[in-house]
Amino acid sequence: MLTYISKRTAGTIGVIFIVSMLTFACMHMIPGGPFDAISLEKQQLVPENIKRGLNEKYGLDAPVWKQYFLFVKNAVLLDFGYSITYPNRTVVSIFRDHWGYSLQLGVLTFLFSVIVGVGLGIIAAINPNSIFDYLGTGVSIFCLVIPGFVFAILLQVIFSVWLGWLPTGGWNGPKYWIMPVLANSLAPILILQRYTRTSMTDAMQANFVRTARAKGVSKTRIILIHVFKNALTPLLTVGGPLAAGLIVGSFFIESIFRIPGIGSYFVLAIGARDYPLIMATTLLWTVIISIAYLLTELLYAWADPRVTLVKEL
Amino acid sequence: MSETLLEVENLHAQFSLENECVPAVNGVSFSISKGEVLGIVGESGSGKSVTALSLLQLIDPPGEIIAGKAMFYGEDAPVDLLQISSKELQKIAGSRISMIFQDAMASLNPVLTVGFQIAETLRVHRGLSRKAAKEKTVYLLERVGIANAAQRSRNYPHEFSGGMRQRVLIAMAIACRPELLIADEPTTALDVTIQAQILHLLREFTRDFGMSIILISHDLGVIAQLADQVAVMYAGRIVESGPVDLIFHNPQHPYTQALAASIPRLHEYPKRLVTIDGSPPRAGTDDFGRCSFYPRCSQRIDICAEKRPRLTQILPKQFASCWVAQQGAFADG
Amino acid sequence: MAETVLEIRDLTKSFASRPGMLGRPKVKNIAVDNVSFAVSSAETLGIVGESGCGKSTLALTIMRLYEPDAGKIYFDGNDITRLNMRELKPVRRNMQLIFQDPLAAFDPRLRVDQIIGEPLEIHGVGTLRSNRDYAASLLRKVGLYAEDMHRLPSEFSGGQQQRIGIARALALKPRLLICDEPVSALDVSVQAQILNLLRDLQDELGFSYIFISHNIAITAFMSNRIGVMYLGKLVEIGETESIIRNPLHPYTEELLAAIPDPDPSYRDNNICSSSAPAELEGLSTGCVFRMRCPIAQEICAAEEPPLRTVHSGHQTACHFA
Repeated sequence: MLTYISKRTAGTIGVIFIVSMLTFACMHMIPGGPFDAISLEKQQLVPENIKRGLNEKYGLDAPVWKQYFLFVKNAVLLDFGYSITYPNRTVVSIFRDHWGYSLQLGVLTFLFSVIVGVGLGIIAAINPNSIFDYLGTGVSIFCLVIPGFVFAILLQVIFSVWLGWLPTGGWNGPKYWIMPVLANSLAPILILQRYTRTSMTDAMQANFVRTARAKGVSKTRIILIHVFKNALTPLLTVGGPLAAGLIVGSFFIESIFRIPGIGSYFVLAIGARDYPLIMATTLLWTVIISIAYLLTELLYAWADPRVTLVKEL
Repeated sequence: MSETLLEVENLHAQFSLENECVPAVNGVSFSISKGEVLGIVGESGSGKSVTALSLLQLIDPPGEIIAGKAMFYGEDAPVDLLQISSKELQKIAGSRISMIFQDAMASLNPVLTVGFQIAETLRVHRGLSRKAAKEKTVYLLERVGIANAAQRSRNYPHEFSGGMRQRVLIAMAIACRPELLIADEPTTALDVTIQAQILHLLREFTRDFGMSIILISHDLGVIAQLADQVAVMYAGRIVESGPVDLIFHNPQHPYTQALAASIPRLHEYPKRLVTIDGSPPRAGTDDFGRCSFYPRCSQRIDICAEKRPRLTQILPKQFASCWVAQQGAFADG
Repeated sequence: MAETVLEIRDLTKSFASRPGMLGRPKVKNIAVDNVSFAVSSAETLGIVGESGCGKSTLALTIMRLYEPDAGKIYFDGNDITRLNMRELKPVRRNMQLIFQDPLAAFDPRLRVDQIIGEPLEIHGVGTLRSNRDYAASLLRKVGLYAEDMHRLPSEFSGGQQQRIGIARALALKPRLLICDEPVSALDVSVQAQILNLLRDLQDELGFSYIFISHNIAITAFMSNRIGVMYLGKLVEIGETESIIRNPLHPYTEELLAAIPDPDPSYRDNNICSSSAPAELEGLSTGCVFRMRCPIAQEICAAEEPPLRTVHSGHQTACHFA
């Protein structure tokens, strides 16, 4: 087991390296540098000599491979330098200040989506073609059709503007959580509900359910113990990456509800050619996804004893 | 004269598909006594499995039981298995009537240990504590011939071979000493030496605690070795029934005769095997009110194409649904 | 004197399998272990054995669908063991396979005439029109109708599907047909039809069969000679009647005794032990059957018994035969 984890960790480190190299390369390949972006923003051309000076300051005049090595050297010590867009702040401090909010939003969304999505899925599977099944399908279609941000604005209009029950934005307590979490959960609920329903239905058709019934086991016990554990594996496959995607923040939801999360930093950094920020956010994403996959695999092996953690090399 | 344990009367089951109702069991009646092994022989489409599943209300939509009674006598008050509520049935299934199926791997839950699954029967029906159930489980595994029982009870189904898995199923089925075991093709997927051991095991249990068995198989050899009474099914009906030696030595229905004649025997070396033309009819094939075996029968006469024969007594202990048999054609065997 | 169509010598095929967790050494599973026999023209050699004995792997290895690890395959006297794919192609015309599950052996999108015509196409035989006529005649030969040519295999019953499989196998007029459990998936009443068909075709066309089955009675009906396999080894081989009436190897005896006799007058009550055999790991020395053998002695653990002739044509691998 430990050998397995260490092998996978070594693999992850390799992946991180490759991703960082590719990102670095792509980053420098897209036309324009950070100061051209600022020019656009400020609607005036940055004079050439100032540009040259700035480039020198940020080490952007050196050849790309040299820049990369410098980057790696510093990154290992978790020093990602200063953001170009926010010159007074180090990348690390940006993360420290803002990731917490995204994390909270993500975790709450995940918990809510699991309870609602998986719950609706189980109910739909137990009562096929009933009102509950249609309810579940209805909710899913709703989630599919309405984009998260449209729903977010809708919620704001109804509950903040018309009814005045909930605040329009910010993140200062449970009342502030309700609408953002709801809006952010649309896609996850859709995915979890459909997957749960399908995998439960599949598991319920299995022959061992017939055996359990022939043994006189009650329906409740069959669903909860026999069927659900079998339905778990497909859910884990989908749940891991889902969770990973949620904790890196959501640009739209955070913007609409003015949550000081890290989502906007992810998205705007690329447009702004903020190289240090781009590298850091990409690497964070990579690490989180890799950990999510590793955890999923370990949970897999726990949930389904037929799966063995064999690494085919 | 042994007492009747189960009496099935006029069982009808069908499957409602999109435009049609496909009858799978067309009026099946039989009975089984205490300590007796009833062998049900049939090929695909004969309705033998559906009959068995009906007894424990395991037929799900689009299938349904549309008529019939299955009176279960035995230690408690008689009940009609087809009518009782699912709660009542849950008390009987697994404790007084058990069932084992053909594919042991698919019949066991892959994510639960074998010990858990066997203990479950004991805990649900006998209310045993976890510890007591565990001990009994180990005893049961040993009883069905699994070595290292204590250790193996912690294994999962995929860690056993085919024959061992079938033993596990049997252990689970006999855990509460049922009065009746329904075995649907229990050895079909197994090697012949393993099959012999499993049949031996079943015979042991019948002897040791008087368990009755409904044994369903398409293998005449298995039936011949284990059954006391035999019922032959074809196209959803019983076409012949009687004691095993009479059925095999003097069959009264052309289907039974042809079936027995078409299997290669070990010490005979014919040039060709006797065959029955055509294939067994798929469930629900319309027989137009005539004998369902008519298209394939080598002995048929005119009336066979007009009226369906009913299961009638042909000889003192044998019943068959055949016009030709009723005329005494096969009386001497 | 009948000629030898196929001869295999010391044919071996093994698979590396890694059980369970990391770190354990690879376990070699020797599926076919030094098997040798010969098949003459117009003869049927039956191979019986239980699951895991390697009979299906043997069939696929003979056809070079698996590459043998060791040993030789001679077809019509020519060594085909190491031929490359191009050289093997003309040989393949003469060796065909019939499978247990006929439907699974067909491309579900192809019609019957395309299925039968495919081998002809691959080997560049005949024209489109002549092949269509030929396919129709093959269908008739196996007991189907020429009109069935335009239907999909899924529209037929199991027995009919197997007939289509047989027609396909016959298309190139092979000299050897390997049948891997050809009737096991069929209803009992249909099995007899297919077995009769196989025998009739052999009488008419004169090819040889290797007939693989776990059902000894069926194999005895079909075969002139029978070979018995256990855990990859050929433990006994001889004329059918000799094997059935006078089995020499303890495993063959056990197999024969285990067959349930379709005659209730012969009910054996205590022929076998009811306990499951201990799980076997790959045995490295001695006789492969010794863990289950009722007459095993010390020599059985020390020395592997060679396949030797006991009386004419009847060979067995046992120290005490």
